[in-house]
Amino acid sequence: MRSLYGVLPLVFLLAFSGNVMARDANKTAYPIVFAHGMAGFDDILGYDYWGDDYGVYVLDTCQWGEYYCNHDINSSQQSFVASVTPFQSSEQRGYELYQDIEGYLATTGHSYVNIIGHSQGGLDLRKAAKMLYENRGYTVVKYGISISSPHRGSPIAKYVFNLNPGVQSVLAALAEYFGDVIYGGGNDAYAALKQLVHDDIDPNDGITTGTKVFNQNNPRSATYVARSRSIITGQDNGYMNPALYLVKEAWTTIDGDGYATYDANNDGALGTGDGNPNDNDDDGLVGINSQQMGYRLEYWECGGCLDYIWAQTNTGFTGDLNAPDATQMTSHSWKVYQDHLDVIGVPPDTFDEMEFYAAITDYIADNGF
Amino acid sequence: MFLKSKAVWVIASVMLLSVMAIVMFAPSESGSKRTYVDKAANEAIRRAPEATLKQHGFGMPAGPLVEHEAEYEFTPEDVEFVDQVRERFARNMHVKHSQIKLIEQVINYLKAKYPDSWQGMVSAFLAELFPDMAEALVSKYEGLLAYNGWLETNRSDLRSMASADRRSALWAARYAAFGDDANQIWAMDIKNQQVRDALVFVNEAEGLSVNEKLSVYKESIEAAYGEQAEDFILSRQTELTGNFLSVESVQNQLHDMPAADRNAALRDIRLSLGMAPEAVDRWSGLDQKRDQKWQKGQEYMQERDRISREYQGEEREQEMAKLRNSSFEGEADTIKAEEDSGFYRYGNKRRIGRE
Repeated sequence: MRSLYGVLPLVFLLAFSGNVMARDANKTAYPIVFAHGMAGFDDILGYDYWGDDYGVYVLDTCQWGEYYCNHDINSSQQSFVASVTPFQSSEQRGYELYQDIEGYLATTGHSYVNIIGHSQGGLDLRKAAKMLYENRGYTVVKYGISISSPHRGSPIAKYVFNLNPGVQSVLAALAEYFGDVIYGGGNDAYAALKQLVHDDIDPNDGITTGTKVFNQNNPRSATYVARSRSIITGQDNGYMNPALYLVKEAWTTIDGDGYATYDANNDGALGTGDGNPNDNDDDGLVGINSQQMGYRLEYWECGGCLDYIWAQTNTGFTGDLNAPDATQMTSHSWKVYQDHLDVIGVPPDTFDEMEFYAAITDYIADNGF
Repeated sequence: MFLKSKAVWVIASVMLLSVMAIVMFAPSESGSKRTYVDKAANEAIRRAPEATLKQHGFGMPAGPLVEHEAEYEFTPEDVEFVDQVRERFARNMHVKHSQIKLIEQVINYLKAKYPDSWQGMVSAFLAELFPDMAEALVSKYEGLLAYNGWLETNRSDLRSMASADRRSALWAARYAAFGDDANQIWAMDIKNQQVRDALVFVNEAEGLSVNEKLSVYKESIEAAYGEQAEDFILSRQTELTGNFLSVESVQNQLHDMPAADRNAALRDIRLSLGMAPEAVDRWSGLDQKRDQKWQKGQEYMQERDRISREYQGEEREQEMAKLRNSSFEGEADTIKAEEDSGFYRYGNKRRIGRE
């Protein structure tokens, strides 16, 4: 059930607006920065990362007479697409994201931003927000919204790193999955995978890696990000992007909705499973028990009108990312029934990325930032 | 005399080779602006997509045979949906991309309502929405099913291809599924690719100064975006600047410049890519801060090496901590966390203009 608070704005709108179609996303007070996930950049396998499936940027504003843009957003909405090393630890990617944001602030003269991070971008944004605070002395990031982020690890990362059945080599596996971007300069496939396993996967490599220590060093904190929110994704095999379905078929199936205070099933993510890996408990790469940061956001698709996003509080607030409670690790509430790649511009899917990001923009704007 | 004429020959040969190289990578003309797209190859794909697909080992896109429902009784909810969608899309229905987005909306609506039988009902909705365009829309719907099915079937093979081959195969499939309408459906993809191609060109072009590379880059943007180029540059100036500064050969040239020339080059790049003078001034201030940090960071790395050589165990850790605190003050803990994870921010080659 959608909460009363969630439905009220819609009821109000329907009751007092003669024309739902007139609603566009409001302009945010501060620009939106996009932080991409692993591989990412502005292009993943020839498709634009932050675009619809046909290459139109999701927050491209419409100028007079222009068609190829997002007609659901304010024509003066400001946004910035950051680009960091495709395969690296979040310590490095977060540092690079920070530098990109500093540059964007220099260009625009703004003092604050909102950040939307997809997948590993949700981890990177925390490091960047912390560095912005340390260097500027105030909380620069207003909203930090993660989408499908493995805050507490991904079983797929551990599976590939350990060369489990079906994986011949780390590089070959990532190249097969993400394309030849892995061979570009500056990439470190091992650092990227080690980052996305919860515990330190190799105690003998002389370094300390994983989401657990990253969360300790780069916590969710109102000091760094005024409001932390997350969008949880999960979908079952039949509807999954074929790339992710192949991961499930050829490698492993995540059982990602069980509670534990440690990696109880030793799959690389905090928590455990519930014994049923086929109940929409992961999005192909990340279990739902890894994804909540702060409050969850509900996404409501409106057939024929602009979609809606609301914050929901009934699963509580995940403050300490290494210690979510049982509800936050097991509840399917407000999960968006999409896979890991549907929410970015990787086809084939019919998910409306333009409306999705317009709705997030509207949510941020309506809540003052 | 002989030496002099030999030198002339060498210079002439070098010039000739340079001209040949430029001719081989010659940009094609688009209006008065240059683009870096292989138009002949693209035309071949457009004219004979089946041959291109065959060349890459793929079959033609072929969607499932859809049995369209002969009659469909619209519920009040359907009618409301149709009214809203019609109003939303009517203005742009002449654009093929808009037609595809409309079809996706209908599919999403019907999938949620009839998960097992939605395919056959789409045509009834399209006819109800825009009766005059029903035939064309149903054809697009079938093309979309075919193209998406082709992507699913060949996903694994597409992943393993070099990006240029993959692009060629994708475009062949798009032309096969949608004909020339593919150019409108993926219009932005074409523009984005033109700019990417220009960056590849400037990275590989030898003998061009940073300024000349910048001109090539800017012309490619203007060629791709036409009348909207100015708005595009203004709205995406930070990304465009960052992408240009990410080009390896540009970075190498900037690294080789004396500091004053490098600063002037950065200023020119930023102004040329649409930044206002006051924004460029803010960037100059940021550059200065970053220069100071990198100077300190490189000194730190040298001192760090010395401590590593001269100290062991707990004593080494204490010396390192002292060094971090004196070098970075408020960021010392962040630097330690980075180093514990294996990342040394001042150990990598600096990305001029980006950090």
